[in-house]
Amino acid sequence: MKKINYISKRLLLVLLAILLACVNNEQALAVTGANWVAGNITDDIVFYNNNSMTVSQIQDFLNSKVPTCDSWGAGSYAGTTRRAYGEARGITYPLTCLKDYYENTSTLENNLSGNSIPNGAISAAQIIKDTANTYNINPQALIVLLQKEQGLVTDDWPWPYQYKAATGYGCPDTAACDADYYGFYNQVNSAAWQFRYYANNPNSYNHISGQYNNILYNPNSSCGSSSVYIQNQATASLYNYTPYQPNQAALDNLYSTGDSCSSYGNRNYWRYFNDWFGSTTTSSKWLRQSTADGQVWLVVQGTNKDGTYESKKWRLTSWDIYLAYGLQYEPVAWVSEDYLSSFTDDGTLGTVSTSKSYNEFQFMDNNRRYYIPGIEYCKYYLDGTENTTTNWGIDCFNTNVVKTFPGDEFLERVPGAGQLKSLFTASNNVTYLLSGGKKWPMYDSQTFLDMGYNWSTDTTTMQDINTQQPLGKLLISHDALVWFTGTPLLIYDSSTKQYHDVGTYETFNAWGLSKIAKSVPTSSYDTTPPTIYSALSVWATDSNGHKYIVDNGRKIDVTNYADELPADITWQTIAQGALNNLSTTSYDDNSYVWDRETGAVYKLDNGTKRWVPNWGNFVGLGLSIGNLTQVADATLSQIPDGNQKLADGSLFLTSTGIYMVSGETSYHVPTWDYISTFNLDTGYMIQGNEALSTEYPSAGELSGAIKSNDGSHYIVASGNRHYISESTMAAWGLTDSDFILVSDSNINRLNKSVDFDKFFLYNGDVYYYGNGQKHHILSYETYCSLGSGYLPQIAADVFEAIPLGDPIE
Amino acid sequence: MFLVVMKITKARLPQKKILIPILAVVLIAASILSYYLYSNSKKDEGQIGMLPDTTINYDPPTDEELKDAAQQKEASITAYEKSLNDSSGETTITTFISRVFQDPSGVNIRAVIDGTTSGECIIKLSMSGQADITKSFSVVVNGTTYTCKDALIPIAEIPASGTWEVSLTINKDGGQSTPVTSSVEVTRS
Repeated sequence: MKKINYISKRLLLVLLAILLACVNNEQALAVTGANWVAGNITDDIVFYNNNSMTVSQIQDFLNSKVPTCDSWGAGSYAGTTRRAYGEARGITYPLTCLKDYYENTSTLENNLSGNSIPNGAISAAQIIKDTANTYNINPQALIVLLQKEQGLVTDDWPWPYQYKAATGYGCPDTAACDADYYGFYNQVNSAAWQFRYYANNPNSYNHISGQYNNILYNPNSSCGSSSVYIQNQATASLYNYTPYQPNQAALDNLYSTGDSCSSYGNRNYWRYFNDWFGSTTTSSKWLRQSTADGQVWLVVQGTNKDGTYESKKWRLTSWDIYLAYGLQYEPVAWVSEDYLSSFTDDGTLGTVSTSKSYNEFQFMDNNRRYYIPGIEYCKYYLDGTENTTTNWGIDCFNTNVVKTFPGDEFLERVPGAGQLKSLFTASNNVTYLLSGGKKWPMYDSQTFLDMGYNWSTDTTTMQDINTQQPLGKLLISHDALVWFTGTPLLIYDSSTKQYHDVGTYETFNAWGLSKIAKSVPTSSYDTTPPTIYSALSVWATDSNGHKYIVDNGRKIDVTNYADELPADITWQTIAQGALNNLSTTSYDDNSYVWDRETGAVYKLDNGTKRWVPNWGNFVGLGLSIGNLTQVADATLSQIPDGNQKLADGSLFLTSTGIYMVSGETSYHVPTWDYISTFNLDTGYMIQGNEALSTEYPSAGELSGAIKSNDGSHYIVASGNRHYISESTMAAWGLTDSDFILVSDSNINRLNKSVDFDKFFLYNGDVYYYGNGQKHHILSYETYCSLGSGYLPQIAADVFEAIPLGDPIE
Repeated sequence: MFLVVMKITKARLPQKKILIPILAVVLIAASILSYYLYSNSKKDEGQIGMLPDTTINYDPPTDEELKDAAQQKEASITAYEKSLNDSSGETTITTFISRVFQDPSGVNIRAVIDGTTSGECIIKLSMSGQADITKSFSVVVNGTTYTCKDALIPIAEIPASGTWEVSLTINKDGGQSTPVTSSVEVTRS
């Protein structure tokens, strides 16, 4: 049981130890001499932060540093009691520790030497806080000052003299203090006043921020000095107040004494501050945020080329400005309005700035610094007259626009990027030329190159904040299609510098503008819209007389077929460059157009479009997909309908009978037998279109004796064609006039069979030729004796055309 | 740590009844303490203008601080005793010209004066071939030391450009400090 209790207790202790370690994790880490930076004992932001502690926090802090005040001198000192030692030197007991000190700041009465607390007195903590607020000094700095001068903060038996000289104000190291400044309140108030006075009159004292200063190691000047670049006003003020820096011995023994040339005032200030309140510096160097209204300011302090020292602040009102100066990752410190009031308000920060060291203005963008090389970038000359040849049109000499930073440190933290160019590329990827204070958008990279610019050297991408100039007109070096936002679709002719309205939605599609037109993001035609000439047409021609149907982002070359299109079409002359944006589709004799929307196939023919009415005719015309050229219905609708386009060998039925198409004509089909003789397909026969009689005028009756354009003669039988020579024709008594002329395709559509010879078959009877007549063969033996042969079954009209001779037994 | 405790309680099952209340008390105490500390830290952060990295060390003074404070106490006692005997007036005045520079208004002299709280700065500018220029300024307090009040020689009173020697002496009670010198390049437009 005892063992268990022991374990429990140990566990409890371990847990508490861990807990306490967690509680103390904010404890400031001790500094070493190596951390000392003579030029930056403390940052301004820390030193002038009067809101670092409340009165109660100050009181708690003072209490913590003197847990027990030895008011009666019970402790020992120099071989006797503190009391005896003190009384021997005129000290009246009891003593009062700082945590218990009260003073009436009007009468300067206090509760030292056993006096009661005077009426109207306030505590030391309250005096420290009030003074800090009055002069905008960090109360922690005043606490540390009290410690480093008289050790009052930790002293548990302070003598009244220590209060008289509490901050060492008017107390030279080697002489008695000036009685005018005696007293705790006097000392604290005078010291704080002095620090504020240093800040308000930075060039009036020994040590100046932003410069090299010669700083002694000791009041004994023979101990030497060193040149120190003082980085800020607070450090300069500390050196003004106590004009010595620690030597190496003092730094090597940071918590003790160094050598005879050591001084400890500023060292101890720095050390105590670090040990009690954390770092005297902050990583937040440039950005301050007001606790009153949340406004973020850029603050810059520094010494100008002319030796003057300035502290300025600028409002940061957009994230673009952070980006322009590379401030996006800079920490921001919260500060009071009192602190901010010590900086000169220079308005709102823009992207043009300079310092007194720079001959050129600096243009900031994306954490890059461009210099403005000459007056041509400015809107006005120095005498105020307007610069009509400016490019950027920057208001260079307007202090509301161009901000001047004290010193060079802030500007030079931004990398230099050379000269500001006269072009930039905006975030919308459009490259602009700056001219006349306007930005002139370039249509495309071809324009950029045509104007003689180089991508790698002549432009750079800039932030939106720097690309807000008014728009100039669109720059196009070549013919092009342009689509301005909010304007009609236009085509630009570089030779005439004219824009043409694209017109309708159908035209838009025909020209394929969604694929090839450049969308210009804003109304890039300046304040005056471009003059828009005739509406864009799908009937395009160029300066060489080529003619095109523009369709779906391509152009169909119909130069040689313009006669097939309506004569009243207005061919619009289009800039070659614009036409060159479109691919070219050829059109030839075998081409048919195919309505993209309805699927109908047409033949362009003599100013009309002639519909191919069905699959049979499509095949009969020998068409395949390769013959078809797609065209928008809107375009085809502008072409009047002609008669149907029928294939050779196709049939149509009118009131006068059935006709078979043959070329530009037709033949009347005399009887149903001819359907099979010619192997015609009635399934695709067109009915009810009387106009076809006109389109395909009848050339007569269809005959089983046909001839082709090359003069060949054929007898048609059972869907086959049989070549018949002239001698055979003579033997049968046939002449050329007995044959009808049919189109080649009709010839070719029929199967070529054996030549027509000496026999044929008609109504079951076999006939034999001879002497220009047909002779009926009456017996099979005779047929065999005549040598027999192929027996084509001929058509009636052919049978009738051959004279009849005597039968052969 | 919790895992370790669990291990122990398993091994010593009969004592479970004792350990559990202890653990509960510890955890509750830790929770209350953590909340208290968290609340206090939030109060601190709530102070207007508090820097994010501000910390306050409420620990009692360390031994090093006490040792350092003891040394300071001795120095204070010494200073006090010295103040009691100050009527003798026997102090050593040390001076140091920390900066001499010209600006549009003239030649400015900045000095550190130790060892006195009163007196007069006598500044003399001299250059070969030119008459000496002597000006006096009052000694004024400047923190823990003193300096010459508004020590400026107007440019109009400097007759020629060139390197002028600057000499500073403190007059007090009929006596003089040892002069210290520096030089300044003066340019007259």
